Amino acid sequence: MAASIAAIFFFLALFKRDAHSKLVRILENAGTAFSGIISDVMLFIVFSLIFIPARGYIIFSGKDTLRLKKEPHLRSYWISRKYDDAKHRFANLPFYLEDSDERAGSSMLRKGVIVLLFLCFLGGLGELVLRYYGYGHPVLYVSHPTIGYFMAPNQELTRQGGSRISINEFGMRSGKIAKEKPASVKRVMILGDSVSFGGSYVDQDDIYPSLLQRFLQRKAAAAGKGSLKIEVLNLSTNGWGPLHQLAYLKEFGTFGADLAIMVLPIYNLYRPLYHLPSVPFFDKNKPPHYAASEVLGHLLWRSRATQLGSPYFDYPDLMADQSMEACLSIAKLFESQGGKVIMIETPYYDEVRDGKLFQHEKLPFEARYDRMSALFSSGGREIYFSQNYFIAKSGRKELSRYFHDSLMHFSKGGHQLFEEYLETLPVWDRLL
Amino acid sequence: MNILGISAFFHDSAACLVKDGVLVAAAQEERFTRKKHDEGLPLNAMAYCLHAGKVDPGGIDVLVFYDKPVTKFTRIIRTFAHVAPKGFETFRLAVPSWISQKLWVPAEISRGLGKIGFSDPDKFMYTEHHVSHAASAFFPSPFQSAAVLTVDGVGEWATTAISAGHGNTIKILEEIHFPHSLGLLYSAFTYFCGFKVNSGEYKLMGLAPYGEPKYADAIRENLVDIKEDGSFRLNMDYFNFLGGLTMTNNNFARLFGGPPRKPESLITRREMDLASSIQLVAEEMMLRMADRAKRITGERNLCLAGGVALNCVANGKLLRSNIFEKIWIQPASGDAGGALGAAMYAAFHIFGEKRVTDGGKDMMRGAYLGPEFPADTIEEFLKQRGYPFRKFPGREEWAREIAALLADGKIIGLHQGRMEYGPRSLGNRSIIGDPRNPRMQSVMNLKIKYRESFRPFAPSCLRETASEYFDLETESPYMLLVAPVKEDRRFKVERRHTENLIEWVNDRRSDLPAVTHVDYSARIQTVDREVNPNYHLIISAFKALTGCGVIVNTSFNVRGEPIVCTPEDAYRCFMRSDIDHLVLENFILDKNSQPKFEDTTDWRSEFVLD
Repeated sequence: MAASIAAIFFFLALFKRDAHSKLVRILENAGTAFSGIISDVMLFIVFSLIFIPARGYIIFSGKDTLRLKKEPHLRSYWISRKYDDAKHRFANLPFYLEDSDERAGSSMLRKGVIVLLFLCFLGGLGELVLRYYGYGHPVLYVSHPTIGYFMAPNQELTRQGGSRISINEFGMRSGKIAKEKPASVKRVMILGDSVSFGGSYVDQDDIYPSLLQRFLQRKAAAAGKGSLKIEVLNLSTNGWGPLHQLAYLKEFGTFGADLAIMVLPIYNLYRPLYHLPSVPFFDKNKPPHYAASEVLGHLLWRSRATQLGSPYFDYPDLMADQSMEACLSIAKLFESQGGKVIMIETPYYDEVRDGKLFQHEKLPFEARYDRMSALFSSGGREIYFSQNYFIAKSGRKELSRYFHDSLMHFSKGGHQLFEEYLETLPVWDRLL
Repeated sequence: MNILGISAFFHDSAACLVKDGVLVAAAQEERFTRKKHDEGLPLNAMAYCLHAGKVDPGGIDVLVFYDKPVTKFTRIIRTFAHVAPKGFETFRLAVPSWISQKLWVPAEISRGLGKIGFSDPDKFMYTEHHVSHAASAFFPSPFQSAAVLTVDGVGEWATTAISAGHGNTIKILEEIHFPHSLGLLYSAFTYFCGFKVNSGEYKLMGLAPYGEPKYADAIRENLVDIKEDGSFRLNMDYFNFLGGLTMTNNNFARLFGGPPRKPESLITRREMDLASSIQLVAEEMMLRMADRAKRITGERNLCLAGGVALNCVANGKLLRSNIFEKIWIQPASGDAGGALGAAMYAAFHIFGEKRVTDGGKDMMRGAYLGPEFPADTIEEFLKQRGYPFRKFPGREEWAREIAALLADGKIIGLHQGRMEYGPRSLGNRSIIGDPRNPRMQSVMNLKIKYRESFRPFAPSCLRETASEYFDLETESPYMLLVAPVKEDRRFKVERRHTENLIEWVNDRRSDLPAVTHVDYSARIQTVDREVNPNYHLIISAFKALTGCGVIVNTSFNVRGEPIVCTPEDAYRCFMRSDIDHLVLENFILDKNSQPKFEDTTDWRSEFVLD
């Protein structure tokens, strides 16, 4: 253990400050991530799997590295220290080599093998724990020259807490559909990002597009249109903005959707057309083979992203103008094919908590809300703001019931609340 | 070269700045955060030291951490492997903080430096825990060459080390390794007697003279195997600290006739006898270890550090044993002193700064290394708050007034000059009183400090007249030596056998009853005119007025509270306790004329009892 950690830090020392700071940051992130997911149960599993076998080994091998055995025959218990100037040369390292290691009585080779085996054991254990928590088989993506990326078709996954994710043949988080809309079908298409995708932590049946589909099916039956089939297509992908959505629609078409709902947190207007290398997602052709490699991939990306910063902060107005143009183009595309388009702004955690529109430190959100609203509704289109509904319903308390994090991503409760909000919109009677 | 030493993340965090080989500033974080034994990153102490040293934001050349965290973690992991399946509770409590913080010391410190407006140092280094202690003992000492004995609970592996210091180098020669630790043995008894580990050891030492060493043989025969050369091993059948949350186990309780004393419950004769017994055994061990250090180094001088070096009773015996001609003890012997040792080790041993000693004065500046508050700042504070005061332009008159108040039986909070580094108040953040008053000890304990009645107080005396009162031939500037009160000053008192400690305390044992412990000993501070002229002036004035050149000195705090740092801390403590007068530099405040104090917090619950 000590030798392995020693080796890592030895490399740190060799690469000096730059490499040192990068690796420390990665390790720090790993430490933070690890400390975030540990729980008593996990700790107990780790403790049991590491230390009970280790104790067995100590008993079996008769080792007494803590010198717990009574040795009254010894004349002295002092441990002489071979003075070794390495300690001063390595004063920049957080460990020292124990020069009294003769007590271990084993060769460096033997020690190396033990350390290697131990590391393998630790690695295996970590892999098992991570797989238990749903890592190791993430959603995979396809790189595309104009769309940037989209979800690889036909994926059936089970992720955190047993949540199911179904990606259909067109890269949507929806069930299978026909490309051409049958006459007996009404289609609603959700155009969104990670908020509408729903994350890996919300089951397919619990994301709001699924809930909306069931609501509309019930509503149709209640209106005496039981033979009408409702399909809500969830074309929402992690990290997407309007530029991705427009490119996708140009490539694959509108699937004959009767109603398109553009669901976006205002932040998405500042998103450039990310390609796969810019986001922490895995290419279909390079899937992670281990849970550990998935976690490590995320950590490395996060470390890199932290260092690179966010490029769109440099040109916020340019980005937002392009995205707003894309929104209008999307709307016109659907409208040209007989469909309708509405836009819904989703709330930020801070907006619900504070009871007012969120102001980003660097991005002019409030002005952008106004401009988007004016621009989009100028063609007679409807734009809705769900923030007040969330503020009223949540009472600005217990926000963890509705949000998965302190940004804008919904938990299962948030998906339910958002779907309840959708039910209140005056568009469904016209659709059916 | 600016070298910043840091100790943190375990207990008693501290920072220290050494500039071109000169000790510039040092302080413990608890004084700023008001959290006793604060273990967090010492941001306030770091900021203070860097500002005191006028270090530019990018001017830290070297930052030295006081131990090797990875090796320490290895020791913890290896310990779990020895005690599993026991130890999960300890594992659960300890490992998350290791994973998230303690292993990433540079990142933590870098973040901290950013918060206080400083850039990363050019070099980041680590010393070993006992190297830090040894360096803190040897490098500031007045000796050019000395044996160094460092004894504490545990560092990485070492719990005890004998080192040799020469000029600007130091090297460890022999060690005792964890879990065999005199510090932990003493702490086990501290725990068993109902006191808090890491702070109650001092109480156990104070309790020892009330008891008889009835259990000393039981300790030697069962708990610790002590060799002639001072090396030792604990019998871990009696201890629980390897894998449990307590220090001792049922075997220990059976050996000493019952379960541990509950904190704050009545102290019985058993606890007194246990304290006396472990103190005796600890002294024997220290003497043997010192003898070993003498043998393997051949030195005439000894330097001491590590938590056990705060056992001033053992230090006094070591001094009187004449094993070494001279002894110097680091006043911040606990982990706080590790910051100082780490910085000095880097300055002298690694970077070869020149170390000049004359065999007389040490480099500690009287341990007055903390922040000070100028008179004009204090005056502004007092006026702003509307606190009535008297101002004394001249220190002579000021000292005479303080002496008169002391002679009148008043208890005074004294806040002047730079704050002390280390656990002892040495006249700059002190509560002082008249040692001739027989009720002073119990009054100060119960009404001022709100602590146990049996705890003795220390005398501060003029260096030049110390031998008139105590059998002490050497100076003791840091209150780390215990010596007997002169025979001709003692009153014969029959040894009591009661468990009522108040009766013991109120016995008049000498003409300095408030500072004479039940065994006629006293923990002495000798005050040097050059090192602390104002404090020297006060004692001199008291001597001129009363003929007594000794005053009572205890730390300026209440039980569980860190020693005061700022004038505001001092005023708060003054108003919360029965202190009669407060001295803030050349201003004297009378409790009777102060406005009603609106305490915003329940201070009795604010501080965790130690």
